[in-house]
Amino acid sequence: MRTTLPKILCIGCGIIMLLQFFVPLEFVQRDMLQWVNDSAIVVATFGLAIGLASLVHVHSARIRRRARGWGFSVVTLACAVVVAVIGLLKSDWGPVVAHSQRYDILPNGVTAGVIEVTHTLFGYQTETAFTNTLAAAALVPLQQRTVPMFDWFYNYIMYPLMSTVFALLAFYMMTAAYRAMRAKSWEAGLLLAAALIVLLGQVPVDQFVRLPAIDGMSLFEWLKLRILDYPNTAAKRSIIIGVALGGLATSIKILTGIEKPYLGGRG
Amino acid sequence: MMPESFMDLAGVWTAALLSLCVFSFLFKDNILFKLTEAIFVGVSVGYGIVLSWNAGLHPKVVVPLMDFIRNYHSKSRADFFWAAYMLASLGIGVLYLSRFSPRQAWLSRFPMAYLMGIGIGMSMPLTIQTSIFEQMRATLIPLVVKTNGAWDWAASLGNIVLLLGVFSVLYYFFFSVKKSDPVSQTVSRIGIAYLMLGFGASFALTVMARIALLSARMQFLKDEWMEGTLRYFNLL
Amino acid sequence: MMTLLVQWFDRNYRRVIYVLVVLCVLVPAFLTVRLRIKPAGATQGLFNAVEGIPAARHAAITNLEAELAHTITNQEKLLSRLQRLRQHTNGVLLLSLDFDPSSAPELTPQAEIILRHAFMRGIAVVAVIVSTPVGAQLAQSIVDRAARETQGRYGVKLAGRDYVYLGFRPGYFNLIMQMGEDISRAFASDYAGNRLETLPMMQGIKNLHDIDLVAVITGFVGVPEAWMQVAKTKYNRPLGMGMTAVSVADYTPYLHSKQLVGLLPGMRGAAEYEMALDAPGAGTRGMLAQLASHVLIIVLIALGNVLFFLQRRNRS
Repeated sequence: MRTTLPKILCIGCGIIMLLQFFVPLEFVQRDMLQWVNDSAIVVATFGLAIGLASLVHVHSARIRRRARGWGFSVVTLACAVVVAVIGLLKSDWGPVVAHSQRYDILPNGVTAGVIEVTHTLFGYQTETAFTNTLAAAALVPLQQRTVPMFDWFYNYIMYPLMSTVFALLAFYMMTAAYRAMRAKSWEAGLLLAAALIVLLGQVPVDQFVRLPAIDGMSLFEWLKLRILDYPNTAAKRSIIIGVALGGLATSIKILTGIEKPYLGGRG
Repeated sequence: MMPESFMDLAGVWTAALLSLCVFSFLFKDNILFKLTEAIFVGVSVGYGIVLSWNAGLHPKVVVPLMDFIRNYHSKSRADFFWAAYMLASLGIGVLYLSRFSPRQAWLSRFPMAYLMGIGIGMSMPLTIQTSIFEQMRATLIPLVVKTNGAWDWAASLGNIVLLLGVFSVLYYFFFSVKKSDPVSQTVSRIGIAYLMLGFGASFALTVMARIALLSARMQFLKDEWMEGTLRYFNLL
Repeated sequence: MMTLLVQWFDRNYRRVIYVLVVLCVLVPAFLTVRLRIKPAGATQGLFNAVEGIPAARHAAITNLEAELAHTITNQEKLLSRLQRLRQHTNGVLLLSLDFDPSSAPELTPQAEIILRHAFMRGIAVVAVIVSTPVGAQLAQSIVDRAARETQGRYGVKLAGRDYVYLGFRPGYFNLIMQMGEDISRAFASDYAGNRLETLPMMQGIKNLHDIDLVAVITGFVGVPEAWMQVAKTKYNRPLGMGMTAVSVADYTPYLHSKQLVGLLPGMRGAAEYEMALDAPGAGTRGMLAQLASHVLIIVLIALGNVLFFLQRRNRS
């Protein structure tokens, strides 16, 4: 039962969803599809939540066991709790702590309006008034937008950290290019040649160095486009077809019950 | 965005210091980097929890069901079936949480099997059409191309190169077939050559992506942090 | 002397390369050099597609009016569709901003220039994000900023009237499928919490059939396939993409097979689009650092290979 019921559920749902492509009834192709999509979104939401719950579970276990680096797990959970509490609370909750005012000036120098900002403990409320630039009339209050403290965590912690962590790769890529990109065989030589041509074709080197021109573009740019359009397209197309055929085979195996990846490697 | 209020300035300095802590990893792994990493993971988890509720559970589960309960007397029979189906889906979704109990973890197979079945059923015909049929159609192109009655040698050569490439690479990927004769080995080598050209192009394009990220961080440190701080205190 | 230098470099190459990389990226930030980047075919294709949205909408209205005049079945359905099409005579662009901060520096210029182009032509924009919740906040700031910056030149752009940002919902593939039939079922409200039926712009947009062009800006694997399968294969909507340069090589086969109308390759794609629109922005500004870094990596690869062959020769 523990393996049979999930198998029946998977195969049943798969066949029903396959059949909807071939049954030309509006109920099947529109209403049933909407119901199933609603349902799948609900279940997928829990999938998102389980990932987060799992992370919290791992770090709390590390703190309980006083495992190596448990102090960092305390920091992680503390940050998670603070951000979650601030994000889930009503954003305009709390006493007013400050007022400020600034002029909203557009890139072309026109003063579009006045923005008055009220800061509360857990968020800040913004009242924005734009000038009607077409009629040059008086300031018209347009929008009241509440920008919660939650956004501050995103703009000044999450965004910079995520970008910076990936920006580190630039350094490692350069050192790898020096150490590892060696033409040790004809295959590596071919890879290097393609890489060098595309590198030179990607940037407008012809603005600083005189290069022959073909079809109104520099030689390397022309070569880059030819490499991308022909050998690269051929290679990647084969990979796309191969992966799709492999995926198709796996899908058929799952729908016929031969493969059961949802059982986690058992049964 | 240049800092205009105290909160903005505090934010810019926080972001700048955390970015520099991350860059310190280039010298060696250190406590500042580990601390920054822990903060990053924590903030991401908190953000994910809030989004799961605000963008997921609340609008997709709580609001429709509350609306149904409040107005159930005006709902049709189809709406009742829909509500029952949603409650069943909610039940299936909650089974995901059984993963935390070793004895009941087998229950989490149901939501996985449900989503897998739906996903496969919905995407299989579309994948066949998009990634197989359309790509094969674009490969079956004329080897002799004529433009305005004259032979277009450039386009013909391009088509020959493309066709040869697709088939030789596909042939190379048949690892279950023994390739001991000279013809098979030659075709495989041609396939490898195409793959190397493709991977070389991919590597070259990677550079742009990574440099763009680094460039943006450097721009932030120069403009918003240094220049923004000086402007905030009217020193520039 | 040369041998000592080579040996020193071999021991300290990491630090030297790190310093060179920082210089290549930081020094261009202080320079103002305008680079001329000619749009390639792939970028021009997407530009032409956005430029042609009003014409495509007029053609759709004309065709539907002709069909309505000659058919007696499904009149009600066709009439309601015609009414929706007439609400936005300049057409509707669905822009999916499926990226997060890890690819934002490359993809934000693409999103900004496409939005600017759409606002210039008076095209209604529906912005969504379907793949990751982490990008929801970022996408909102991009859309709001583009509306604000074009406001001085192309008239006031109001959320709810000229553009709508729907935010993120989980579901991914199922979400896109649901948008194909009923957008308000997929997104009951926009990102700010306003119900879609209260937004004037959404009166004329029910599902993907009412969208003239779908443009997807993404750095994720799998997202382009999902949009292609639903928007292009199932609903036959014109589809264009902008992606990180690293992904472009993998998706040129779809461009070649005409499943995509255009493809923007990373920051260069943004620069090319800005050149086509004659509106230089972040894409063009970022190309100088790219130029310096590309030259550096070529020098490093050449140096590495020269040293390798010299060492191999010395050994033999």
